[in-house]
Amino acid sequence: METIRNYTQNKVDELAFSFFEGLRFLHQTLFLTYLSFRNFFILFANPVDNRGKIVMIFKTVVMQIYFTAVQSFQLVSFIALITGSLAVLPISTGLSLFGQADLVGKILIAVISREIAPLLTAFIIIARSGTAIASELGNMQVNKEIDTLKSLGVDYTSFIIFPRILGGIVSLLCLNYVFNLMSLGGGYLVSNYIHPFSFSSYLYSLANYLKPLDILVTFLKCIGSAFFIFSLSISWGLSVKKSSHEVPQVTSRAVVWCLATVMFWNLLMSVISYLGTNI
Amino acid sequence: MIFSNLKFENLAFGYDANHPIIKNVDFNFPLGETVWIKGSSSSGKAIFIRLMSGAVAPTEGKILVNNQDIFDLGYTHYATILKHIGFGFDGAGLLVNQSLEDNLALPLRYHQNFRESEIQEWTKTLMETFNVYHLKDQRPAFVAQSVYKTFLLLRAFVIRPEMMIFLNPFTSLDDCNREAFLSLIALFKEKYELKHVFIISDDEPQLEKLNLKKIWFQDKKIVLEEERMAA
Repeated sequence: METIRNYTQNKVDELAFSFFEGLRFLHQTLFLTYLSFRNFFILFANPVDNRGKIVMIFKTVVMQIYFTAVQSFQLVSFIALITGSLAVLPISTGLSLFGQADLVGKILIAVISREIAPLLTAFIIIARSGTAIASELGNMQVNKEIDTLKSLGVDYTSFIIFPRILGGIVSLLCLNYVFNLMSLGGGYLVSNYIHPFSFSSYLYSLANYLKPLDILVTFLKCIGSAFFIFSLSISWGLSVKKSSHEVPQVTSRAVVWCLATVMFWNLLMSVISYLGTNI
Repeated sequence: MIFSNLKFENLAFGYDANHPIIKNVDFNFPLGETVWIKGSSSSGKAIFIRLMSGAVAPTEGKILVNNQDIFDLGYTHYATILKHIGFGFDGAGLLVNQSLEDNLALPLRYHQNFRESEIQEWTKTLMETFNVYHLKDQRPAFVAQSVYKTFLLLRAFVIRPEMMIFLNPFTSLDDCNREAFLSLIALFKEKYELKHVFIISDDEPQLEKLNLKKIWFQDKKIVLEEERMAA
């Protein structure tokens, strides 16, 4: 590819080269992810013969959920509590001025549940687990651990990649619901302190405006974000060739890619859902 | 028997395609015995183990196992053959996030449907051969190089393979463990399915006394000791 790059003559060429290089990387990432799922399902189709492999893979899934979801629980709860409070404060104050306090639920669902919770949870996961996975796999490449697995006849796609992506998806979904619970709960505590109103009416307000579409959109946002975060972090980690100096480089690239794709995915889902609502 | 023949056919390999390390190699590897693979520094003898483990692919030609090109088989099928080859080389390191015992047990847990107690019993037996059982719970980064090397070698034995390939197995081992290593090979040949052993090593005194069959990597080719002497 370096020889092709020599043909670039100006910034536009450089930009075009980077764009298509990015597409190539994305293509590789998606194919690697596809292989990991395909190879797992091949194993899963014959559970008796592959009992040992399946048990080891699910142990890794559980460990991934532990590292990503359980260990992030406190951080996500804390950030959600602050975020919920910060969001509710101006919303409830402003709406009360116009006598529209019962709309708090609608706006919280629209702002926190549909937009902020999936995005902020994904950002926390990128910061904690995306970087950890990219550097872990980068170091595994440097230490030739992936080659080790290959030489032992261990399929690294189903053993390394699949459990991390599956564990990541489950974790992000769970953490998103934790975020919602804590931010909406925290929001109530703050708004109740400033403009006291009953918990039941707050809950009624939320439940009244929570539509199946909101749940679906949040669900799709989380699954997509987790998929991109974990598959891209893995792919960047595995792109390390030989030297440990590459590890921090690929880790920061993984973060940039994850942030960009997660934001794009969330925006896309929001636009589609609002278009759907209007129709 | 899994391996009836092992052959390189018109094989070439180089990390840089313009500078092949080995080229136009046609060679039938002798099976059923312990073979000492020799060659000067940078002769490409270490490539043999990397090619066989699937870590690298030839730039040209074929590696035929039982007349089937292993790179045509695809990894999933080749993995079924790899289950019968024990590799011991520094390039294939231990997994740093697992204990030494878990590293040993990994191929057994992954490939075989053994009970956990059987796995632990077997790995314990192997570790006791080298007096390293007390270190089983340590992580690879926290042990001495000689212990690390011992576990690398033991992992090659753990699956009771039919073929074993070692690269510089004696490096970092003390005399006692060198003897233990050679005794273990002899034991596995006698008691289990081990039939074909390839040792790539520059350790002349240790291997010379065993009177092994020798093959040489030289001038980008592979030759038998007899052919080399005749030339």
